[in-house]
Amino acid sequence: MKKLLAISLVALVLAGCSAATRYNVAVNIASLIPEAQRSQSFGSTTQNLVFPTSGSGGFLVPLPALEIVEGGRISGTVRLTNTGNTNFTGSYAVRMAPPGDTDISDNQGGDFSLDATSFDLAPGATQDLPINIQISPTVNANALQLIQRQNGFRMALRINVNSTGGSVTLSAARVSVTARPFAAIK
Amino acid sequence: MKRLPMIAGSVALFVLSTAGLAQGVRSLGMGGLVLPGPAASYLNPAYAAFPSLYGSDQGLRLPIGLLGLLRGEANPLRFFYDRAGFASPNGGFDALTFYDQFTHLGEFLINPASSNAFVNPATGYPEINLEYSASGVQLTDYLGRPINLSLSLGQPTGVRSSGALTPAPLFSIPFGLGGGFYGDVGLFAGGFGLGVAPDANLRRAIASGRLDPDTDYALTGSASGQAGISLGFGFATALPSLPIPEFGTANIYVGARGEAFYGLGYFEGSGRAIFRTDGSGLPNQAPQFESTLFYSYPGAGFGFGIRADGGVALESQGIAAGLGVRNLLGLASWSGTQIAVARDGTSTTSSSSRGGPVFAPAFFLNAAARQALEVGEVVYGADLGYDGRFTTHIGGEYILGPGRVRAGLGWEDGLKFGLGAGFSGAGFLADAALTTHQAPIVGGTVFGIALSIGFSF
Repeated sequence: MKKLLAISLVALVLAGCSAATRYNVAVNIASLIPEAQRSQSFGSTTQNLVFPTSGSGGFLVPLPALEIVEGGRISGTVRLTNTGNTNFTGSYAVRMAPPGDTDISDNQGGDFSLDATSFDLAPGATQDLPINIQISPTVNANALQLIQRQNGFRMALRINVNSTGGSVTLSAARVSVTARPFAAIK
Repeated sequence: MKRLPMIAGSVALFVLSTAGLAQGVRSLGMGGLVLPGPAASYLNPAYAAFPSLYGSDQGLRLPIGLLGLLRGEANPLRFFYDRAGFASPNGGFDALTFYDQFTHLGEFLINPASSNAFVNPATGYPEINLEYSASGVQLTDYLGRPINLSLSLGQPTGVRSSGALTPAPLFSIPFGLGGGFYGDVGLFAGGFGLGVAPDANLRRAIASGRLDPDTDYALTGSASGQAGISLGFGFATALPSLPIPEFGTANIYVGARGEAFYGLGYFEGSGRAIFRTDGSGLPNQAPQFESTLFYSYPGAGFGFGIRADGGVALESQGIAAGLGVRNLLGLASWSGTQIAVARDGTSTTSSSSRGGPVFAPAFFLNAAARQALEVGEVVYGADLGYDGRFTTHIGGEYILGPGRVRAGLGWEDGLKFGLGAGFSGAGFLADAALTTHQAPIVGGTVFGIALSIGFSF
């Protein structure tokens, strides 16, 4: 995809770039993860689930290192269903890591957590939980630095599950960054 | 370094051509209309013997578009002396504005194309969105409307399509030889085309937002141009008047002209940036580039051509019409150098030549009338041309003493209109025109002002 971005950049410059123009580059992550890796059902358990479920490294977003990135946003939706007979409780957080970090949730190798939020679901309930994380020089600056300085970055959703039965589905996930090419001119 | 003169020459010719100096401001004010008369003898040789019934463009068109390049957002030179301002998100450089003004140096653009067309009111700055998902890629503005990646300028008229039909001369010096014979020496620089466009596959992908597996997607760019010195010899004469019942007599003029040219420069270039999708429709391979450039200039090639034109014109009671056919027969050849860069990056330089069809005629039909009013008089007319593309114009001029007011409509790859005013006094004339073109990329109508002045002693 990096190659695609290079081509696109040429096209974008032709498409009338001014010093004020911002390019919003968005990657629909959910569409790129096979459905089976975005959903998991479980019985009675207390554990940490990581999505996509294909491994511990999360999803590699192949954006090139861009100093011209001014900010971004991570958004999505997590659908929780409680099929157990007790409340389904826990918390969820977006994890980010450098491209070389193969375990995105061990707090080693540069991975970190964004916006941990707790939840509490009654038996039989289904709830869509929103993910809406702003990235800027002042909010979640560590995420911005990761995007600006690394060739690609890893992302995952980690959910701490305390349940007697249910399922979790990452139904939408999107990351977008805003770049201003003229910011490269110093 | 040997290519430097060629590049410098190409840029100079390009600037000359885009200045649009070949088209008069009077004509622009009438939407681009060309009236019958000696000034149109390039399009119809019969007009060389035709009386100047409808006046002509006499002034020198001023390249006032250079003033437009002084605008902060259109001035690339700020990069060298005011880099912070150049790159500032407030009032910085706008490549689209620069492109639009630079390619219309004969006009001062009132509202040049601007990236501000992409301003998102919610954020206050221009935004372009690139969305990538499993189903493909989409390039849109902030409202989700697909962005047009096509840029084009001029009408590429390379020798392969138009043969020996050279572009309209920038200037031409006529000389009479007596007995209806005449000659002219001119300099032409034009036939310039510059275009960037997605190929059919990429256009379809942008429209549908879907990429197909194992498919090439390409952004193509092409440019062409030619320049040379032309030498023409012609014969034009009035035939015996023809009586038309209940109307009067019609004066008939016929003409033929032969032109030979010596080439000063020719180039044809094309390039493609290609990315290929894999079996699952993902464009995850390195982009590939291929390009071809052919060039010729004295010392590195040779260009020549010869062609024959013919025409007929009629005039009666102030009403005139004419049909000219250029390049009835022609022969043109350019020999030079071709540089081809293949997808794998290998470059080959070879001697090459370009020739064109012997029969590639261009037609030009126009008509006009001059009519006295109670106050002042009016000249109006229409034209229709074909030289690989159709053009048509309709317009008129109202004349009151030294004052002129003009208006017209035209079609040249898109609708255009013109409004004009002029002053034709003793020893001095000045013309102004308000003209239009379609803004590249962002669409919409761009208005420009063209000026010309002339002196006579």
